[in-house]
Amino acid sequence: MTIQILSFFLSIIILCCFPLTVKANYLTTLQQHAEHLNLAKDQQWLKLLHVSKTLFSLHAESLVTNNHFFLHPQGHVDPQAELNTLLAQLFISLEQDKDSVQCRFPARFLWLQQQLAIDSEQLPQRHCQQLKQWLNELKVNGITLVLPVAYLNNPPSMFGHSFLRLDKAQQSTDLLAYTVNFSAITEQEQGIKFAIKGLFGGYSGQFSLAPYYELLKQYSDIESRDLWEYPLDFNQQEIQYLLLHLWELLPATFDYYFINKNCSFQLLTLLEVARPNLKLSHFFNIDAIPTDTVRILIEESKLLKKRHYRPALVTKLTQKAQLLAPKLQQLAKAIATQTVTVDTPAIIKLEDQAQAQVISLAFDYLSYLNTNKIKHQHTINGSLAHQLLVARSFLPPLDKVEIIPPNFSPDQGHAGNRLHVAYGYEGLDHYVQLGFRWSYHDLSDPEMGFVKGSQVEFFKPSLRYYPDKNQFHFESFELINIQSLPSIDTFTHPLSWQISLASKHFRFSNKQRKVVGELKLGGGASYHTKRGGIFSASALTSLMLAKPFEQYTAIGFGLALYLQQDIIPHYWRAVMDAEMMHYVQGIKQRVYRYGLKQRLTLTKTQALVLDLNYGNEFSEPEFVGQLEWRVYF
Amino acid sequence: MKNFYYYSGLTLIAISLSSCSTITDSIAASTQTFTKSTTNGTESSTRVSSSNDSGSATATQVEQAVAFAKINWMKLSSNMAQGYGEHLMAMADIMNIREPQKPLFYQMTKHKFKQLFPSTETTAEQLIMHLTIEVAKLKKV
Repeated sequence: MTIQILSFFLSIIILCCFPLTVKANYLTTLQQHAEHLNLAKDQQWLKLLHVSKTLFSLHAESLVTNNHFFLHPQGHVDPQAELNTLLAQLFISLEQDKDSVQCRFPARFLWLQQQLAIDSEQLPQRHCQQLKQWLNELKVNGITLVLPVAYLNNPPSMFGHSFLRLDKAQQSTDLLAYTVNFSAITEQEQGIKFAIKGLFGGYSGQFSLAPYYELLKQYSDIESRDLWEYPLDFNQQEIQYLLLHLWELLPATFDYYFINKNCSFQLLTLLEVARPNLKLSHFFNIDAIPTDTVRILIEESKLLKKRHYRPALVTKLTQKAQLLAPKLQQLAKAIATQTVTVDTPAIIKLEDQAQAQVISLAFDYLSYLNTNKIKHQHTINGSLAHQLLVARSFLPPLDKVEIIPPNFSPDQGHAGNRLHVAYGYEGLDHYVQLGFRWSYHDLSDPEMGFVKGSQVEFFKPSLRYYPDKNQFHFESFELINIQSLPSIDTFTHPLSWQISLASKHFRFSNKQRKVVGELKLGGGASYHTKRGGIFSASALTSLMLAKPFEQYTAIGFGLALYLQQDIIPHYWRAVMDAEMMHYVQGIKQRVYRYGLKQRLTLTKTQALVLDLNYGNEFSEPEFVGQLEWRVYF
Repeated sequence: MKNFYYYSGLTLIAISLSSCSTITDSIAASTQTFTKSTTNGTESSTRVSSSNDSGSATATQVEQAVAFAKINWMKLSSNMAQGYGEHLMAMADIMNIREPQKPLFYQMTKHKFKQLFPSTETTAEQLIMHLTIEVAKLKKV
């Protein structure tokens, strides 16, 4: 009897506790298995947690800054603890499924499930309703990388931006697809604080979803940037995994650094998570320039099937205008600026087709003025826009205007880093010069894939060696050199401008060369000729700092002319320029220089430049000639 | 003077390297009607669209159509006056126009442009209301 009672109680105890022990055992098995496989040190696990080394930290740490992204308090530095906690939390009971590990971190869970062959039967069942609904609404069937190119008259923007587009199934256009954008939350700060926080950390970055049409409005209309779209050949399984990881990332905030932990870097890690055998982000530990990331994507992975060009509003306006006779262009402009009315005889007497063309162009110009907020009182005029469209609606449809894409897309351009070796003479001295440029493009570099008349050079030191004297010195250091020479046409009148900050050697009396710090600013106008050349004129002002000047400072004003022409398009370019500066403060001197520069493109990564100059600096006039070999990498 | 160099240098670095910065302020410059020139266009960005297969507009679709029209006012209206264009195609998708009816829809926006935009003060809400009415007529045909 006692035995019966005892066995009864024993069976109850076993029945009650057995599931718990099984669970505990299974968890221990999983954790041991994970440790045995060294999963916490696996690259994929580290990527899912966004653990990486930064320039300014000694040990690996996650770039994600909010605690909710981690289950363990030390998760951001301890991937092992994070992994064990995740496994443990699979078994806990919860009131709401959406709080479960499976629903909050589906990509992490899926990866662990595959690695450890986790038996779902042994876990509590979770239903991730919100996640399912989200995936269903996005209906993604393709991923496209989008790269806005530099915008007109803003060369620094050639560093660019990039974002992903989640292509939607069953849509006749891409406008309604959602985009994945990684950007810094800067709260409108500017100037020095913006610079320091951006470079050395202090800003947060975040992923966000927005419809493609909103980004088009931003980049294509307001900033006048053409866009290049690169569809990626991700299969449905990879896309699904990318979305699961994106689901984890949307609430997360990241440490943001302009140079290397920016949008491009984050997008690459997202792509790497979706396709683990891609090894992309390690190329960009020092800097991640969006165009370079696209180039690496192409070279390393053959990911990009084809590219598609999407012209900016201003590009369409310019190209459409060129299809019309100059007289009709002027007429369209006159209508848009309300110099004449839509029912002017000059319009009425045109054929329907031409009327429609002129009215369309006038409307395009009006919306260009409107989006760019170029506020002449008479241009932002609602009733005029309405009037034009009503008139347009009564005219026959027009043939679709095919906008001609540029011959080269940004990824086909040269890389931003450049080494140059030169041999030259200045007066009687011969020298060898060695230089480096961090980024990105100057007017004499091969232009394929770059915006015409646009230059940004940043961080360019040069060393010079005189073999005759066996003498070495630091020749120059250009911190920044920007030039923008956009064309003036009937509809747009952009200002050309330049700015440079450098320290370099100048000749003074007795042919002594001395270091001078110079800040130079300029403004003017440029015209791109029909044969592909650029003609530009500008006014300059220069501020110099050096010992020979009174109070170490000199101020000058002057003029510059610039003429550029490709003799063989893309391969042989000639540049003629002249500059005249009049120094009025610190030193009284007229400084002039005439230059002839020629560039031959050798390969995609090499070019040869012959630079001949005649000028006086702060001394007697001299010839300076230099042959330079450039390598881009 | 050295400070000047230092600060201008750092600011230049910041400007030139601010490659992927924010996108928040300028979409607000979008047009809602031909005369009023500002509206906040970012309101739709957090919401993910949904659609049904019933062939009629639901509340969220109207909301989405209005948001789309507000942000793309100039482009959408010019597409409608021409009877073609990418923004008009997108509007047809938002309004759930079936494939065979799309050409009719595109033609209608051109032919009835003046009814759809009766004045310069026509708002996005009114436009979508007019469009919905016209689409209903199309479906009866």
